Amino acid sequence: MLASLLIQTLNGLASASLLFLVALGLSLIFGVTRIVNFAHGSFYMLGAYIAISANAWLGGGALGFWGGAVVAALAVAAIGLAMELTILRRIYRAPELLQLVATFGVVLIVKDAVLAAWGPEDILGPRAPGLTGSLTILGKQLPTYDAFLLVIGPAMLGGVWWLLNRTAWGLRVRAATEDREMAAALGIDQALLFSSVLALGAFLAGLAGALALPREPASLGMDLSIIADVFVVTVVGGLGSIPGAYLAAVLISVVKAWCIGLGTTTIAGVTISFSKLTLVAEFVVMAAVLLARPHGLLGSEPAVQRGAATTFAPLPIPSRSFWAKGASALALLLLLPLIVDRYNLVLLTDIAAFALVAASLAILMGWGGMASFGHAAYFGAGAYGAALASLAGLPFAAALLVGLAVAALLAALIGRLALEASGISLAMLTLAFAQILWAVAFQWDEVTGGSNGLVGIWPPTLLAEKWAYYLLAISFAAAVMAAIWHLAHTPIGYALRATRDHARRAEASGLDIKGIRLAAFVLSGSVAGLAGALLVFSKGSLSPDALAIPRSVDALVMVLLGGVETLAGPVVGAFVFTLLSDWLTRATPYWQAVLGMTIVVLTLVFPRGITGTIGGWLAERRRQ
Amino acid sequence: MSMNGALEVDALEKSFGGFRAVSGVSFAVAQGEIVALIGPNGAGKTTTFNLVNGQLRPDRGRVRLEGADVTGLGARELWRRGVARTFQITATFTSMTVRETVAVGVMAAQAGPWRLPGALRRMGALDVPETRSLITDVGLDALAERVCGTLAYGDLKRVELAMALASRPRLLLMDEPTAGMAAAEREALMALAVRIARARRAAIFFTEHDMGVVFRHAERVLVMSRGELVAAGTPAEIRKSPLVREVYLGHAASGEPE
Amino acid sequence: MNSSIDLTGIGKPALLEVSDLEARYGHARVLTSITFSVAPGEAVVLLGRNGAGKSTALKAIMGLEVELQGRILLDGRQVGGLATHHIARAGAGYVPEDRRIFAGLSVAENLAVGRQPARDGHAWSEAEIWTLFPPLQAIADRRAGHLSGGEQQMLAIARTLMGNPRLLLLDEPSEGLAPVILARIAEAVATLKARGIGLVVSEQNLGFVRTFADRVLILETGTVRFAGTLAELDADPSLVTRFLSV
Repeated sequence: MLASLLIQTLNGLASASLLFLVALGLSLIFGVTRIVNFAHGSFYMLGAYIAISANAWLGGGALGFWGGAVVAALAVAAIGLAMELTILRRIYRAPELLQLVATFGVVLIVKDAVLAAWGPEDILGPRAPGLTGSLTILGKQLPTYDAFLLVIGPAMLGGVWWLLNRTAWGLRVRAATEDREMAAALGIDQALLFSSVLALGAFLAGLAGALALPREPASLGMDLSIIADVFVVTVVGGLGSIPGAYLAAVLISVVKAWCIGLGTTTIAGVTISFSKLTLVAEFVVMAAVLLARPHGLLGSEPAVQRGAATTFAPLPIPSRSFWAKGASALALLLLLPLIVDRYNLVLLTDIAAFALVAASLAILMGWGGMASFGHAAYFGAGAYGAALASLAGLPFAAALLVGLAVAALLAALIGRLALEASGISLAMLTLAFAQILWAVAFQWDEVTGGSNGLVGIWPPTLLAEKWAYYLLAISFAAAVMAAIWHLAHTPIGYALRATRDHARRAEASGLDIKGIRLAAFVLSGSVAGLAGALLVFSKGSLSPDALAIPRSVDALVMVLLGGVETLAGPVVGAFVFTLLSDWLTRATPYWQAVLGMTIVVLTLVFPRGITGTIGGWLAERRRQ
Repeated sequence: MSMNGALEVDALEKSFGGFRAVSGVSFAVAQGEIVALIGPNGAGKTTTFNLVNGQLRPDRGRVRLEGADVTGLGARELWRRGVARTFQITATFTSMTVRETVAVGVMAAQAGPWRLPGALRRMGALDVPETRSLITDVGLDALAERVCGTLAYGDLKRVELAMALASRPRLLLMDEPTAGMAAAEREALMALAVRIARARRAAIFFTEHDMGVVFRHAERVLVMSRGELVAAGTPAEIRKSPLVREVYLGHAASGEPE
Repeated sequence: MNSSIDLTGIGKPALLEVSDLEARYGHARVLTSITFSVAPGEAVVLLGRNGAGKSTALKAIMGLEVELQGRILLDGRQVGGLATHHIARAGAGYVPEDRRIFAGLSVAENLAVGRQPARDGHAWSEAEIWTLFPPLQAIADRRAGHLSGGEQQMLAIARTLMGNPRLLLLDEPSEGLAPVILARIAEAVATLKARGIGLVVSEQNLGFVRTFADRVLILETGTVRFAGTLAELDADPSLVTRFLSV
């Protein structure tokens, strides 16, 4: 027992090393540039794929493996540098959410580039020559390669510590991390520093990807699965703290390894399959750390940003003419089944549901100023809740309510934990929660049907026709939108915007900031859950994709596209985005790359957000 | 120290890193009294102020409100106990109109808007006389429908004053209330604050750079230098004190090394 | 406005020439038509109350934070609009109001961050820094975050000197410091002047600047209300009550 626990611990430490290498790069980059690089997981994936090709090119063997790993890391460093020069450099002063979205555009581009170059199948990588055996410790076997990895993490920690503390470059990085404006005032060229840090960070991620090959095959999903873990590690460790990231990587990896090691155990007559609880364990560790230390294990209160505070545009009060326009738009939409075919009716039903998702996200982002990067969690939870209820025999209306309730509960739970963090940490945490939920849905075959999902979820016969269901969905969406618009100007709507405009002022005026924000989370989650429940009955089936990161980012792009500072913006954004992506998926197999490029271009053209930028243009014109 | 003081501060101490910003500061503010805290930049005024308003936690010492220990309590707890504040850099809800901003402050102090059916009613329908009279009191009737983000600095200060008063505080904390304002405006703002506070029987504790404002409006003045309280008295006493000139103009002979 | 005329009268070419400088944060205009010049070895002091625009003027010269219009010539070269690190390399050194030392770095490391290539054949060495500010030598290995206010101020100036500036911008150097430390800093300023470094010092403490100020500008609401020598300022006591009243 003790021996196997030790082996599992060593195993966990080996996994922690790879995770740490990626997190280390992310933390270095965040430290100086203040950008959380979503594409860091893509660097990791690229490292793995490039190492496979480099291995073959170098003729395999020791040279192929080790040489390939170095070639891969250098190639990824060059790619990171290119990304800094072409994209990041233009958005250093943009809102952090926009930076995250822009780097997600790169994720999509890289994913399709890898698909085009290496194909959709998983590729088994080379094993490390000379390290294929195993060591015997207390009568148990530990793969030699794991022992090697185990050393790599602390070695890299030491190496980077040396770079930062013993070189002139490192000194400048540390200075810029503390106060980059002051560093510039002392004559330090930030551009050069940022480029080099990006290259180093990408190098580490690429190296980690190459070194991961003997343990896992290269696959198209490894980018998002590692980035979610890395976000967890970075936030749990304390954003920007490198030793903290190592500590968190060790903590989470070892706990997961123990769960696997315990396997199925019977405790006091109850049989628990611990190996299936690894995801839950990760969640529990994360929750426990954040409740005890809101800024992470070794993190501290985030420094106050220098520069002017952001101001928000007033939210218009819906006027009579606004309601009249809304009513006539609704009337038109209700008449559409007379002229639109089945395919487009289904698409319009999608749009109705996504409009609700976008509107619910806009409550958090727009009114509350809170970045939720995992909104698919509530959407998916609503969908799974309703689908399972329906399959269990509950009537349609009850199933919708179950979906809504599940999403609301989840939002309360995530909100309670995530609200300990703020700003960019909140975005990273919500994303990580959603990804954990996705993994649960993906793995829990007995309940969620695993990767196959659930099928045969249909509305009652009365609503079986596409046009009938469309009418229902539109009516629902319209009613909820009207309620949201009304809510904007009730006490809770004002209180939420007050906490966004000036949290300390709001608190000093007696508003319960956490309570108000939590209420917004629950409200937003409920609406997104309802949308998910509505949509699942339109499709008839459901897969874990409903919970996946791209779905969350879709919602973000809809909101950014339409603008958070108007009432109808999210609806317009959902409409434009859904039509556009529907058209794209049919037009090209590489629609993700096109979408990614669109996102990147949008963020470069509209660095202050679309509404902010256009508002700025208008203000400029008025001045002249 | 009397037990009926609005605010009692006892032997406060606070260090940042190795730097002792405030050490052994004790004073009291009586009910309805108007007290100014002055001192040159870096003397520890702002730190003391933030220790009182709950933004910072003292390393040592206690803060009491009407006899109750409130050391280290947050802004909302202090609000509950009748403390309101304004900020050095004006803090308003920039996306809302003056009326809406003040209404949020009034609403926060009431129960109705947070329960059904009030919670479902539009804020316009919750427009209570309290909001209107506050706006009138601070002289903003003409600007009531303007968005705060578009107001001039001096007007924002008035909005903040109205917000602070919305909770009917017994103690109003003002951090550099007239910073960044033109001379005439300063006088008017402080006169307004004092007039309203007197009418509502609220005490004011404020930090201030403009000695004109301090000497005209404070009933008592506390002077800080290098983290310590070095003098306290009426404006007339403080004005005569050679210590104040010394502290401000820096040509003291008695300085010891830090 | 005669402040752009070289009052030193020696006919040295100006090190810094600021003309018609305007600065704004977003829509708020914070400086209006500021014009003045600084000769090598000369100290120009900006006086005024909080919010008068003194700090903004220094930041504008350094290319920090603000949008600006107008001319800023450093050694005859337009630097307005350049990136901050280019302005620093062109010979301007900036010591901010809150010092902004790198708290996690040691004293020696702070100095090393500031190090730039020699200018006019001279580069400040640590040894020279220890001569200028003797108390720093003993604490060279201490974390800067643990220093006292006076030590931090000395370090902030020393760190900037490591970049071998020809022009030094000091923002409220006296803030919160004991008289003994003030005397040491005033003495250091005099030494720097003697070495030909030009200074622009923003201050509220008139007593502190008396020993080294060559010329004084009084700012109010972003405009220059008075420009002249200390003697001229003292000749009109109403100036002090109007613009600086303690």
